[in-house]
Amino acid sequence: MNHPYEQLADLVDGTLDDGDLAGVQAHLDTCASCREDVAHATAGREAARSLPQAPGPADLHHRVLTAAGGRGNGVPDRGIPQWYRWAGVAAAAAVVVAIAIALPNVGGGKNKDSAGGAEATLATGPEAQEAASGAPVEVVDKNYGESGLQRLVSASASDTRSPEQTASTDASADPDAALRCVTKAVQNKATGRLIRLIQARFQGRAAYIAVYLESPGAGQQPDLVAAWVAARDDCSFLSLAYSRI
Amino acid sequence: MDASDTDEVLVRRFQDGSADAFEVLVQRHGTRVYNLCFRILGDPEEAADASQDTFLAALRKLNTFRGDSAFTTWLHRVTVNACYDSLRRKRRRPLLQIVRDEDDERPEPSLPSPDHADQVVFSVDVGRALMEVPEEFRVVLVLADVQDLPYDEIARVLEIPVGTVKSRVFRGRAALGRALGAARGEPSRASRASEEEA
Repeated sequence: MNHPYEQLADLVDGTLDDGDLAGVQAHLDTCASCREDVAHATAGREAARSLPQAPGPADLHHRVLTAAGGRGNGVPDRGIPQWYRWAGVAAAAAVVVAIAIALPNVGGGKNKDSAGGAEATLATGPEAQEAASGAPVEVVDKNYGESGLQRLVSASASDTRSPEQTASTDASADPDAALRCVTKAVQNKATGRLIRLIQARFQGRAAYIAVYLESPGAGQQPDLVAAWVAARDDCSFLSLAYSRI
Repeated sequence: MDASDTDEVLVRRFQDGSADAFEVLVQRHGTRVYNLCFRILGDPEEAADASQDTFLAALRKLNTFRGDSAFTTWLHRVTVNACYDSLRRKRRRPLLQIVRDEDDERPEPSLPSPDHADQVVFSVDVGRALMEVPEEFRVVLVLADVQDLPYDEIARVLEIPVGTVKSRVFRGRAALGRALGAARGEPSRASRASEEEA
């Protein structure tokens, strides 16, 4: 015997069409199995709808970021979202708009952050020190936020290094210490070639910002600029921004 | 990042390179995804793992999301697939592990109104009875009666006809009601039939 389960669902929901009612009733009159199923389904529907919503794990967001980016102990409140690369791939078809702003770029020669309104001036010194990777430390009197960091990488993606350098760097900044601090903060997640190492503030906190050029691998050209931010005092991870080239 | 942005706006921002947009999507849909997983899998830890797998899968696939369906429809589909993966892994576990699982108490996660002891006990009973419902019916039942999705939306999530959704939800509800009745000591259809024959 074929059982009209679809119509029986409507019957239990109270939405059965009048036109179907007689036929369904006729079936129920002859089918004890369906009569029993309707009684159970009515109870089952009520029971299922009575289930409360569980709050879910409070750390789900953290867990996702951890699994995606290798977040580990010692990262206090922000993940290390290595998934930015996936997002970068996702953005392959998108236009990365490089906002035409002046950034505290060693090679940029323009120090005013017109979008953020903050004045960014480079400290001057006798000569630039070079980090182990060869990147000089730029000491910048600027307080970055998330948007400022994003502008930094966007500008770096569109113009990674201008030929004219009107600003200099501070010899008092220890490039190797800065790089060690960043490396510790990001737990070796940063890959690629270090192109800039900036000493500044991030959300009011003394910070290092390491800007890397990353390539997909297999000898391909770099396709991504990523800026990792580490706190200077405890070398904890603070933030990450990226942009496709 | 504006938390009031629609899912579709956040998806576009993510596709344009905003990592923050994905974080907002996780925060916005995390509880719903977890509850779907929890009611399908019946275990808080497995549900948390499946929720995590859901968002990781979403992360990988979001670049291919073109908005042909609503984001929530798509996310429900990803979630159900993560649950099916979890169920498959569970079936592959050694027998010993399965036996131990059956002995587990499977505690209900902390509920909003713990003072209502009867309600909590009933919820635990229902949650356990839900695990007696065959998977293909249970998934539809949870989507319909726990997540409160309309049948046509469930049809889009599972990519099956609406009639099939209704058929499965009816049979799932019947199986749940029967499992609850069995838990309360009501005679099963088979035992009652044998009594009638005698």
